[in-house]
Amino acid sequence: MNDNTRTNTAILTLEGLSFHYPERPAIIDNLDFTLNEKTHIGIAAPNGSGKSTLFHLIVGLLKPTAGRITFKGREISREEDFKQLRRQVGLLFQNADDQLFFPTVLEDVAFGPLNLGKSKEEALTLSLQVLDNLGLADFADRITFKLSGGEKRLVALATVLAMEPEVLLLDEPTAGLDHKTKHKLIDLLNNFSNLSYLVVSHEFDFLTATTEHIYTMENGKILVDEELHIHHHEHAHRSGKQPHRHI
Amino acid sequence: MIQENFSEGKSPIHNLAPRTRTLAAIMLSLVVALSHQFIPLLAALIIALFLVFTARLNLFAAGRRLLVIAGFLLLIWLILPFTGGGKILWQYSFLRLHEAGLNLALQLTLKTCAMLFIFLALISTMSTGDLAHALHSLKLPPKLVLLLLITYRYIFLIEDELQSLLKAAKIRNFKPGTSLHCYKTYANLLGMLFVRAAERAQRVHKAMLCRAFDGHFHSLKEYHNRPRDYCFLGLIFAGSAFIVLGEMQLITLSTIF
Repeated sequence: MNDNTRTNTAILTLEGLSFHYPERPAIIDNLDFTLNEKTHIGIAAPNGSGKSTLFHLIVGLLKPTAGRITFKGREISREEDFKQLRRQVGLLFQNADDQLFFPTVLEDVAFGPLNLGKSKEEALTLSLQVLDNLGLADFADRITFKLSGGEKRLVALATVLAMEPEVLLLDEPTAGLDHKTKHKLIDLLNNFSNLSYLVVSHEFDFLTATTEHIYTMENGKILVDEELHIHHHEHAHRSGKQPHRHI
Repeated sequence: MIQENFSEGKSPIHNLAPRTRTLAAIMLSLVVALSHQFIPLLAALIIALFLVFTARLNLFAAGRRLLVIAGFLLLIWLILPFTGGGKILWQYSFLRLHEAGLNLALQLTLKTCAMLFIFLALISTMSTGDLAHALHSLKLPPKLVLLLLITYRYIFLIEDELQSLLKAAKIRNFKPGTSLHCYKTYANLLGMLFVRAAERAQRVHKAMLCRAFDGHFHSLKEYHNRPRDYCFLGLIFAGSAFIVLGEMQLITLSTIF
């Protein structure tokens, strides 16, 4: 176990979580995991290892076949509990188009706060504030379907942040992003020191730049005991003098 | 797929609140739909044309929209005058031109054109988003407003999906034709589109749940009526009243001239 699990308080705990679709093998199998306050965890895992499923289980979009989810010391099981949890746990979807469902950016960002019972003025101020924080101040009146892929991802992040969550779940946030937006996202995430977040990605560069610990998933479990360490080592091959990268 | 050609503009009509325009369009089209006399319908058409001119629409583009319904009108003109019954005005072998049918065809043409121009001038001059918010402020059920807004948002993505499916068919040398193979391909393509749309709908619903959606729709927009909105609604009300009175034959040509 690493240092922070001992010292910090747990905000989200998963115990023996399992999930499978009817008559299919388990996607999540007896998974245990703890996310502490203000920690940033990366999960590097191949496609199809159940990462998105795990996120959907945490926010209650899918119901686990077994196991317990505890958020801030309370067990979450009923839909009412999950409704409360979703106010504080923000999920960034893999496909931003699924998450932006209003014609204009401002309407979309304000959707969450309005649902939380804020007044129009409060929702408007908050949304503009969030957009401003992400450097998207002049995006408010833009049409969502006319945004570029990178812009959509950032606006989707704004819609999640407008809910003022304490935990962020980011599902492949770099998928389809250009270099510039990727770096912007890294800078943004590094400023979220008072939030906990869990990032799933298969880009090691991105995970090392944004998280303190990187774990992997295998057979429906998060392997916490085998933290991945990105390391450098000497090697030789032909044309080694040319600038190049290994992925 | 949806080109809101007329939604941007600086005309007096564009300057009215979307709610005012929607209300005016509802009022006028209701009156037109219920009228049967020629004078009121002609008056409605004149009002509609006047609105189109006030909205400073590109008349050529507006005329092209008229072409869309011209086909239906043509069908009406080919059938109704010869089958309508009533007095026979003209006869050539088995063809009989009936007065009632001719009247009905003329009425339908006037009604259709008037309605089309009313909607061109008042509704197509705002974006679909504005229309949805206007309908919401006119107390349309939130479910229908959301349906309109989300359809508007996602119809472009559905078109993208269709285009990529068509491209996939094309690169495998699919040529549209009138063979069973072609119909089957189109059927599968359409089926695939439905499957993808349904899956996306599920994902969107999940995203909505994540943002505390509980079936209620909250609009950010608030409309404040300005004097010009009241003036415009007053004028439209007067116009509608004129049409209604004409329909009830309380106003006839002889009272005007």
